[in-house]
Amino acid sequence: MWRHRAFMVGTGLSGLMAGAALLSLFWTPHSPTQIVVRARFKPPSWEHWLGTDQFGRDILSMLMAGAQTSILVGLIAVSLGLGLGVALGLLAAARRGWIEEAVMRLNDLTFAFPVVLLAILITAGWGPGISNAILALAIINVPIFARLSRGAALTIWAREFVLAARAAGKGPVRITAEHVLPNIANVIVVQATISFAIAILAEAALSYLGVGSQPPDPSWGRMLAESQNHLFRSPVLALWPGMAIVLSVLGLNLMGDGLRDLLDPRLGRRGRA
Amino acid sequence: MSAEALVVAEGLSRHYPLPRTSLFTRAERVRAVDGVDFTLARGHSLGIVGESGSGKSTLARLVLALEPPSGGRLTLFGEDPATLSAEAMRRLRRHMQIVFQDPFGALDPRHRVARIVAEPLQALRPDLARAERRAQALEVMEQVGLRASDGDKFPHEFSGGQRQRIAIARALITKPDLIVADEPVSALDVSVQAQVLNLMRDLETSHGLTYLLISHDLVVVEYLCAEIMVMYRGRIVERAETERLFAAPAHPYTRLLLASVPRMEAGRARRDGVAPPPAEAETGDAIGDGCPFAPRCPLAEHRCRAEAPRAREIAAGHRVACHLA
Repeated sequence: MWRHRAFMVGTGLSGLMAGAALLSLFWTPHSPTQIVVRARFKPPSWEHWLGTDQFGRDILSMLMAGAQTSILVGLIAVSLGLGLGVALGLLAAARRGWIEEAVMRLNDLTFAFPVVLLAILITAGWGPGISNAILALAIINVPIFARLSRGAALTIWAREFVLAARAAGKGPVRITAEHVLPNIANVIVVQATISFAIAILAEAALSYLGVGSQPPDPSWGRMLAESQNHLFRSPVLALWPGMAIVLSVLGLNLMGDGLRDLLDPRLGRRGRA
Repeated sequence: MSAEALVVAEGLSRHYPLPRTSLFTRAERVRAVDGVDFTLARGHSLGIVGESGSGKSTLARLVLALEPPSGGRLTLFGEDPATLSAEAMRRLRRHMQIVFQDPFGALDPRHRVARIVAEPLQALRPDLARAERRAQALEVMEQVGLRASDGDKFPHEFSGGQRQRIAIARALITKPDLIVADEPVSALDVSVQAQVLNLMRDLETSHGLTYLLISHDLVVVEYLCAEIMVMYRGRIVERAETERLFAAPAHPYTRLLLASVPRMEAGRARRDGVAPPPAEAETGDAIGDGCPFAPRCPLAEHRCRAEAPRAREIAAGHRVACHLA
């Protein structure tokens, strides 16, 4: 499994991000929120590895703490969207007819909302904040997973081993659990990593617009937004959070790609189920 | 009671609605199976022959109660599956199993072979412990010529013929009386076909099986079945004992099928000088009330296009649906 180079690189980058987030729970080089007026716009040094921002905050510490926010948002939003979406998709595939119609039309309705618009709508109702950003992202993820899992499940339902399972007296619930879900798990896992990456991007975008995480909670998107005002004085301020976003999204996408290959029993080595 | 009826079909039909072409017209229907009558007696394996699209596979799913009929009556082991409770239906399913055409699609690629073979026991014999189910699976695998050590492998590690053996093992594990085999060998190489057919014939005697064998290949059916039904467009056009059907085919479609069987012996290649089938374009759907085969029939008369022929008995046990037979 370590022979798969894309998976290695992807897991490395994602691991770096997760590690930084975990470490920041206990320790960061400096406080990510403390303002030090004398230390504004410091270039990288031994004291501040990546320099300081317009308030004299340590950028590396902010990036580490910001990874927490990104992971938290991605994890919760994707889990909620995946859980509900896959359940709806499997239901639609197992029970054709009006249930399927209802689920899919509801999907179309949700698809029609861009995530940013939905987030702004929710913010208008309940005020800005990280939990409302998570809610918006979760809602957007539901139809993505529902459509994906319904389509994949339908191809499994059309296979003859499902007919054999029915001839063996199994009902739709058991067939879904024993045959359909294991056979579509790989596409769902791959989509989950991609959705995770998109969620990080979207959280950054929402924070940039000011409807995501609120100060003083560190966030990559807001770091990017604030750096915009000082772009001529210190362009690297935009570089660091931008790099953090690009690398973690790239890492998650590469990991998803690798997982897709590794989860196929026909490609994997024997004995690994 | 040697001639106990395992399956009795009376006017069995299965229609599928086509997508509507217009909001104001009624949806058209495909008559996949259209008024089929037959009886399948224990120990008297029956073959169903027909070209693709003739409704053979739909009939297989109807007989196994995997799909409800849209018309007619089906009696399985003396009971009507439509009236049975789920529990009674599961008891009934122990007696009948299925073997599919495609040995790739019929086995779940993510399950190990022992689990695949034992699957019918899971739902149909919940009284058995897991270890006992596995032991039975390995036993039946050896009966079909697989090794017990293969139980922990995945289906993709086997060849097509071996996979079909796995599928047969799965069908055998509940010790059924009836096995519906839908094109069991047509996806296999010819040399492997013979092995699988021999295995099926051996199991017929050793396990007291009765087959409902569905195939487009008359030779396969001839090898395993005492009696043959020929289907065309959802209807049974001829039914006779195997020998009689080969010796004295009465329906023009049967003759056509027999003529297209490749034979080693010279002179048997073409029978009765029946013309080869005309192009598909001529077999359009507009048969109206007439005989469904009329558009392709070399002997068709005016009457064939006006009136559908009813099946009649032209000799003992030999029924034909043709005006001219």
